[in-house]
Amino acid sequence: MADEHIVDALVIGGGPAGSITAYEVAKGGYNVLMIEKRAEIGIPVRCGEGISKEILPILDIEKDPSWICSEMDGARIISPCGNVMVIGPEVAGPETGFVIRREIFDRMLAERAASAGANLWVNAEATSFERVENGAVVRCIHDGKDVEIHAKVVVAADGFESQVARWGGLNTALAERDIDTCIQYEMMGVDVDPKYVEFYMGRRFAPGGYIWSFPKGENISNVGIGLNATLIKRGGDPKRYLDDFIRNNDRFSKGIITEINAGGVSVGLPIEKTVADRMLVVGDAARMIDPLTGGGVYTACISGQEAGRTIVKSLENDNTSAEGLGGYERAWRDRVEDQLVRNYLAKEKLLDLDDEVLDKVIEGLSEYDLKEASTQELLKGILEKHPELVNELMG
Amino acid sequence: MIMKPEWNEVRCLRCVACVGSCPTGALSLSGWRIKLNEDKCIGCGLCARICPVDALGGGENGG
Ligand SMILES: Cc1cc2nc3c(=O)[nH]c(=O)nc-3n(C[C@H](O)[C@H](O)[C@H](O)COP(=O)(O)OP(=O)(O)OC[C@H]3O[C@@H](n4cnc5c(N)ncnc54)[C@H](O)[C@@H]3O)c2cc1C
Ligand code: SF4
Ligand code: SF4
Repeated sequence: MADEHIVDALVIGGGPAGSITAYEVAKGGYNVLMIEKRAEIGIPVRCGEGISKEILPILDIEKDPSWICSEMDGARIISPCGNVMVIGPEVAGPETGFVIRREIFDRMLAERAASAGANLWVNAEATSFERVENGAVVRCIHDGKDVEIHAKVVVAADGFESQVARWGGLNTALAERDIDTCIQYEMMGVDVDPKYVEFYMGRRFAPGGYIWSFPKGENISNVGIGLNATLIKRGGDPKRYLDDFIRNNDRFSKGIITEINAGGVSVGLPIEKTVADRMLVVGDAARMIDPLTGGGVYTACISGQEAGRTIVKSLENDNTSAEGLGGYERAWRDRVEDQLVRNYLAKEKLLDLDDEVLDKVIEGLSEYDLKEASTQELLKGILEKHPELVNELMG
Repeated sequence: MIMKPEWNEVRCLRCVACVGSCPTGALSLSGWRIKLNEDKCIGCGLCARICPVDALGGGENGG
């Protein structure tokens, strides 16, 4: 017989979304358990490690050099033929970010949850979910042993894999157009500006996606690529494109790879329903990633916060039905949905632009005195130099 | 054409790009292994094509 374990709330997945949910529930005084199937929180890293500085006030945490490697001043965007657009600090503002050590960031968030009173099991994999009266039962393999966990509410925080929500009857299937696959290297001995992130755009570099370089210090960078699934011809394309880029670029070709990571990113809209009876879905599991940049840590944190706060209220009211948990759906959408939809539309546009158009777009912007990084300002900049692109960009 | 993935455990980085992309939920990462539920797999070939390191037989390494 399986061991039994009873909690108020069970969080499945120990990434940022899960840890922040668990932190909020523990802070509210309820009994919460977070289970993570990996043996070590945060490893392997599946992330380019760039995040917005706004993360500090949102999480109410201090700047900490143990997980912040470097602070960016701005970005350089490079077109297929080599036109460069520079977004300096005066334009980028708070939108510029930190480059972090994701494994330490994730660990910090898990420890914060544990310090607030959450329980944590690593090496614990959820394998099924079933609703029962007033709650749900999740079966899990913890250190090789079967355990049955009874909870009043279960949080699907299982990341891109997103299986738990399916078990609960929610649809998390992605259209092919909404999938990017990525591979990245941590490299040392590369010639990078430690204050600027770089993005290489266009099909020449990365069909349907981009190549990034996020500097983690002098001569160290996280260099990676994402390709859109519809434009991937065969297995291994992401690695082939990234290797070609590095081989043909003097600034990177002499570097040494100290780490390889890969992963999938959703670039569509979030799932339609993130709440069901006894269940909430947070972060990547709910496909809450910025479709334009592929950044998901920020939204994972916001959704975790709202999920945790909703759970506390639902436990106070002793109602973890879909109706009792419904406030979560509104709360996270209020905070991030507009931005996600706007960037989804921009990604759809970008996916269909060919390289010649992209060259002109970036040329236009490089010569324009950009006042702010808003869509309107960007369009103005492009059309001033290349009015003939009006249909391509607005149509 | 039906193309079921063949997992190459040495190449695989356990990145779960395939798991999250499979339209029918036929793949899972369990105990550090990628498992295929044959009953659910419709042989669409998506997982093999998008694997970043060609560990499912969709590139030079297989199909
Ligand atoms: C290559 C790559 C580059 C990226 N770059 C950036 C970037 O630069 N900036 C940015 O903001 N975002 C980036 N992202 C996205 C970012 O990594 C995710 O949005 C973020 O990790 C989401 O957090 P999460 O908590 O929702 O999920 P995750 O961090 O994925 O955590 C989910 C956890 O659940 C666990 N789990 C899964 N199934 C089970 C189960 N059955 N039982 C128990 N545990 C389970 C997993 O092991 C995992 O630890 C990138 C993604 C990739 C793949
Ligand atoms: S996509 Fe490829 S590397 Fe990633 S887990 Fe699947 S088989 Fe392994
Ligand atoms: S071939 Fe298609 S259905 Fe089968 S495992 Fe791969 S993605 Fe899923």
